[in-house]
Amino acid sequence: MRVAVIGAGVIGLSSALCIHEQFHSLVPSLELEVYADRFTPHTTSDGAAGLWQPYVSDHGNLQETLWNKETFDYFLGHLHSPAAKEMGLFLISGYNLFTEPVPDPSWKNIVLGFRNLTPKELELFPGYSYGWFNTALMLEGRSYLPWLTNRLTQRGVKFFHKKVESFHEVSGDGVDVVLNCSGMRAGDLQPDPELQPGRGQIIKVLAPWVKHFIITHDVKSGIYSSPYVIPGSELTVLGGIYQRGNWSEENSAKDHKSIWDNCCRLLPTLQKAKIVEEWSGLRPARPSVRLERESIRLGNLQAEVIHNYGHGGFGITIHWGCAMAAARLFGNILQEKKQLATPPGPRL
Amino acid sequence: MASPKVAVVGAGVIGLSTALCITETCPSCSVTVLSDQFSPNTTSDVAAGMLIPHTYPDTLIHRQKQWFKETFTYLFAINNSAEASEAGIHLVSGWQVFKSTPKEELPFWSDIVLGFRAMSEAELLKFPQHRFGQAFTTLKCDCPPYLLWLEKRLKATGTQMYTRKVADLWELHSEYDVVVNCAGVGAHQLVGDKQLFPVRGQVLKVHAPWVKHFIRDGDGLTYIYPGIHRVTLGGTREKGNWSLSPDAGTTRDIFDRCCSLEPSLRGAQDIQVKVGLRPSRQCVRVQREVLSQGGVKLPVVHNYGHGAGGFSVHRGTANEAAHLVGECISALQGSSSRAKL
Repeated sequence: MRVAVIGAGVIGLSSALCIHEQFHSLVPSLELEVYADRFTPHTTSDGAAGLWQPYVSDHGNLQETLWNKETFDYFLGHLHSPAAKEMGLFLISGYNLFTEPVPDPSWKNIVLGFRNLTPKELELFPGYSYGWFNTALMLEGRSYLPWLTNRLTQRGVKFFHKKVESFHEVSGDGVDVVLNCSGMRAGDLQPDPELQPGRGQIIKVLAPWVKHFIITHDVKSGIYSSPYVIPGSELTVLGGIYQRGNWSEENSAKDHKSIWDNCCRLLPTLQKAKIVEEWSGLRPARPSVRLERESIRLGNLQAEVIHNYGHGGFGITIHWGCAMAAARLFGNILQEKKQLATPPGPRL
Repeated sequence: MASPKVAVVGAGVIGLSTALCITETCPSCSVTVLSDQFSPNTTSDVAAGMLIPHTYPDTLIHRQKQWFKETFTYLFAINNSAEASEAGIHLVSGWQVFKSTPKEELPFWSDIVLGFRAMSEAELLKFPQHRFGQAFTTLKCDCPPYLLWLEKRLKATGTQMYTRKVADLWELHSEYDVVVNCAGVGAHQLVGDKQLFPVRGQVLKVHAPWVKHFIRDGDGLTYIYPGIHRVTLGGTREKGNWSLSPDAGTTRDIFDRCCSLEPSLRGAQDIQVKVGLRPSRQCVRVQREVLSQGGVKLPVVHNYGHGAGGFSVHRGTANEAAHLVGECISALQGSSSRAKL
């Protein structure tokens, strides 16, 4: 049973791990292969700060809220494990700021200690009149992806540095199931007009005195287009860019200035922070995550494809719930194949 | 008296902040700081500098609350300015957890720190040995940065600072008009205050930058306080122990206790061990006194005995001491103008 995973970002690696964990003892012939043209630290996931936080509005997508919750609960349970440090997993608290009252988010009971900000706390953030405080998780891509890679390597999963141009390229080679975790480039494998880049740019600074995340929201401009500050274990991420339809992965001087000026206005002490890195990436944005099966035919061969892409700016937040859903779809495929498999014995 | 000369003995957080308050309330004063130790070798440098008050048994609660409020307000303003990181001031959120529900669920300072509330059941799951907890956000003064920032502010006002061991306040009477005693644990010797006793604290300062929250056991013995570069792990409260030498067994014990509160600390690197003697007293001595010897008078203002709560009340007591210095100067000016008649 050969399974090809296309994509080695957080979605590809976690889906591969989830499937291997659940099925390797049930399916002795299970062989997993990961194909990608970019590996950590060059994936989109590596640019993410790693903060677990869904968008402020779930647009009624309860399935995604459930996947977010599964992810949070899973990692909360692993906080005290010896692997936590290596995974880049730790608790972090912080602020979401608004210029007017907003309804509570779908995730208010998923995170810990969710509450509104007090008037005195709002004094910290002139210009903002409403907000939330809560405790959430960080899962830093720069640590988590290597950790996933190590777990997969230990399990005998093979990695191939290769840009896959079509599903048939892997399925025609005797692969039974393809996991399409190609993120932003899923459109190259199969056109998907709903998948659009949500370009982001970030500045990483040395500001170890910042212990909280601060995410501002401008209801008019949309998610992530308002300044945010997210402290990691070593560097602090400054951001606030979301440009729909912009495919450029080059850092823009104009965006740099916008991020820097806005974040320094939010936290004046950042003016003293030393800039260490700058990065741009494309959030694989879609109205909803595409997580579903598809049967692809090429001549007389049929391959099962499990799509798992389009996680926008919440890939880390939702990834484990999606990985488990992908594993369930894989389980369905296994069951069907058993039913369709020729029973052993002489053929007439 | 054109330019009253004030000597401040002690250069920890109390000495430096008191000196600074004096320059603010009495701009015509010439202030000099004298101390045998300066940062990074003061007791304050060992402390984590968390704004979580210690309750003094014999000081009226409203006075302690006022001191804390003034200190918190002062540091809150620095935190919100561009100078915060240079001054070593930053906000930190976290939890104070109790193995059994405390008698007093709402401490006197709960409305001064930010966002104070009881922990939820879900939050308490992280602390299986603890039944009750409080979550809040407070400020931290990292040392040496905070002390160095105070020194810089003082130098800008023209305040001189000298390394000098003062063995007796009378040494200073010919050079200074008022002496301010911020000698901390040194007051036991310097002014013979037998009510002042050390409470030895050993701490570890470790590299664990993924720890973003403080965690404190309500018994005050085990705590984890993340600073700018290092996390302070504590501690001990050994009454009457004057030893400044680190103890290896204590180090292991502190580390184990902190790891049981925060298991990820097992991965902490580069463990440094420090010892400080909390200058403890049943009440903080913020008081005027006129010393008298052979017809000579020496006005003294005492500001010492802050024990475990120095950082939490430092600005409030510094303000009060500066006010007392003002009173001493007025009294001197009054008597000198009487002498002229």
